[in-house]
Amino acid sequence: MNDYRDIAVSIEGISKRYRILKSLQKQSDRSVFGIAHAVTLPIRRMSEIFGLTHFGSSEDEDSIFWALKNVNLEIKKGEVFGIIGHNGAGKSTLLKILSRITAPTEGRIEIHGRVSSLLEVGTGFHPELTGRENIYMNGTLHGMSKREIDQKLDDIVDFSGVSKYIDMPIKRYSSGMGVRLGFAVAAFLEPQILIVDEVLAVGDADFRRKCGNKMTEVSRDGKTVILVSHNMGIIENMCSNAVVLKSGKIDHTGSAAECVKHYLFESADESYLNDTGIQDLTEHVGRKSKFDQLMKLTYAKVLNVDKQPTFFHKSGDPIEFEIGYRFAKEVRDENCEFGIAIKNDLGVIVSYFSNYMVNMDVDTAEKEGVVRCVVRGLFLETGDYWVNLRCRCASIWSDSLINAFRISISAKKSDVIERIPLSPESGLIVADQSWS
Amino acid sequence: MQNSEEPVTIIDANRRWKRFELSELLRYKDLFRFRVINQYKAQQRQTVLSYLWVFLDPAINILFFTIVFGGLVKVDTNETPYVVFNTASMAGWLFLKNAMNFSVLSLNAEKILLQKIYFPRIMIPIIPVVVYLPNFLIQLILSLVLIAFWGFYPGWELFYVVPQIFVMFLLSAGFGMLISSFVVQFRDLELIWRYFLQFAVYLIPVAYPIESVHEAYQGIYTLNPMVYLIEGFRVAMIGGAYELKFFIYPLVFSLVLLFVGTLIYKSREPLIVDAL
Ligand SMILES: Nc1ncnc2c1ncn2[C@@H]1O[C@H](COP(=O)(O)OP(=O)(O)O)[C@@H](O)[C@H]1O
Ligand SMILES: [Mg+2]
Repeated sequence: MNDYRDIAVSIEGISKRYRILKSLQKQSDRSVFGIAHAVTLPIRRMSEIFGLTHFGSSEDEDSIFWALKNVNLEIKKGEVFGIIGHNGAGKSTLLKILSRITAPTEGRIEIHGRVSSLLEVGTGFHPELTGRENIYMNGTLHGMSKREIDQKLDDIVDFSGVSKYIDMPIKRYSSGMGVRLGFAVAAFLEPQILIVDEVLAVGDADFRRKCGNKMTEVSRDGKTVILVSHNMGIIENMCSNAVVLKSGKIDHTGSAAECVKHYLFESADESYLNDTGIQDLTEHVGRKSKFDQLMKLTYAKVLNVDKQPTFFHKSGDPIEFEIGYRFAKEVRDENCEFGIAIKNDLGVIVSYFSNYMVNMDVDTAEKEGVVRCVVRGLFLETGDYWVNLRCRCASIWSDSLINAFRISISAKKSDVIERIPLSPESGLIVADQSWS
Repeated sequence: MQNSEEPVTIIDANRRWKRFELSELLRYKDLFRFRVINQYKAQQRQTVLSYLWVFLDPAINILFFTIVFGGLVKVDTNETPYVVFNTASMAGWLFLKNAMNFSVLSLNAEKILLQKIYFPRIMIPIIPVVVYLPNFLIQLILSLVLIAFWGFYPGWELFYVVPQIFVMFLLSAGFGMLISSFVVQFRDLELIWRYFLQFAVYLIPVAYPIESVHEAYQGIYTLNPMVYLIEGFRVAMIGGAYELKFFIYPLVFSLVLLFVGTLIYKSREPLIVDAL
């Protein structure tokens, strides 16, 4: 039996319920008319309890969605614990509950030790404030007192390597310097439990490398690391134990190797409840804000060979991308360029599609419109991929989205072979091959 | 490492907000301080205009009211010249307006922070009210200088500015606590709020004296706690009879509002991040 002192995190019966909008048209839920709904909800619940109306009116049930359902886990001290699962499986939700950003609907969690998350690196940084002011801002956000920061300030500044610029507003820093400063604060937080949510797939190369180093360093110190990644190579190499989440439930838990296998060969073919195949882009965190506001990409839709919108595709099957755009004002440009890049978890652009590559002109006579791109014969290796989108109009890049959405590629049923994607031995592209 | 104490955190769905974590609030008190200081600095550095704006905002308002209500409409302000009458309450009204506004919209403004890191959420609607205080002080001094320029000098009553501002502070924070969590969830509430703010100035004695309200409606009119707050503020600025009700009624109102608002805020706290 485990001594309770060996446990870093114990999760008992955690569930998380979200109310979701049934569709984009159902905007009325967010309007003031929704208040009446929200205010009368407890009363209506009460009448349900007393049997005045039949239990769980269907309308309410539709708008409730369980992102996590009855999750039980124990994470031991000093282990690197992996969480795997498809998009929407509930991985981020679980980490957000652990770092207390959002509250669980049911269940109980006991955490032994200070938690810090790599997502928090550089949070609260304000471009107008100096490096020094930002250190205090970020440090106190992590619950440090002014006195603690006073004591560590010199070390933090030294460690960041930006001491020359420490009294300069960080808007004048290069992105690398900003990242270094963020990590310098993080380095002095001394977390006992480090939470890492797919940071190895986002951000620039500098940031990813720092995150990787931080993770190895923390785990070498014998601290607990909880890691979400789509990179099965990383999970297998770094983690001892893991869990596979599927639609908010535990699908499998055990050693990391077992979980990776399970994920790749048993749960990869399933489609998921909330797989809409549509990504809203109007307000997207991945948008590079430097671009002018001439036009914006509004949504992206991915369709399979049967014209069904989905993010899940079979390697080699045709994939159709539909991208909506809207201009701020009337602009006639007969040769806009739309680009779609497919990027793997190592940050490598595996493939890029553009209407320029096929000499097709997109004429933007209308303020709003849609472009479509069908990709055939793309034999991607099994795994999840980020998609970057960009558009150039009137000879400037008007909009660019990094990691706009993810697509998931699974092997065709016919070629279930035991292999680990993204391991050093395997490639990025699977060829249509025959052997004799 | 050297720091071996190991805090235990319990997250329990059934005991989410039932207790106020005072010790935790104390641990984060430096965050509150730095958030206030840094937000003020950031706001001032963002634009050169923002410094100027602190002066321009009351100036434009006073000019507008004096031309429209002092000149075109001819509102009767007894012995006090209209411009002095109006200037005397402007700093108070601008504080109320801006503090309330930033507090009510604070959760939207801190969206990114809320989604990335945990800290006691209760401080968010309060921070903007404190951040506006330095601007208020500048505007207060500006008003005093203007009034003196027109030959009016505050007496010992000026001291009453302190209780009036204190209650305005509570009222703004109370509004923020009560409304901000709903504004996050129901987007067009923000629109309604903006309308309310736009018209609120005509529901208080800033453009006209309290006596010009029809006697039959005085009762209803003075139910609005902002009425006595502003009336008391002006008395403090240019003298007159300061009545206890200028302080007591708004104080009671604000305390109740703050209490109810905080309860509602705390009960909706778990919803806030999900609704963003
Ligand atoms: N604030 C929210 N409101 C409604 N639904 C949400 C919210 N956040 C996440 N979800 C939904 O919860 C599910 C789990 O999301 P998430 O934990 O981010 O998945 P993962 O990180 O495994 O891809 C998704 O279907 C997502 O759409
Ligand atoms: Mg996620």
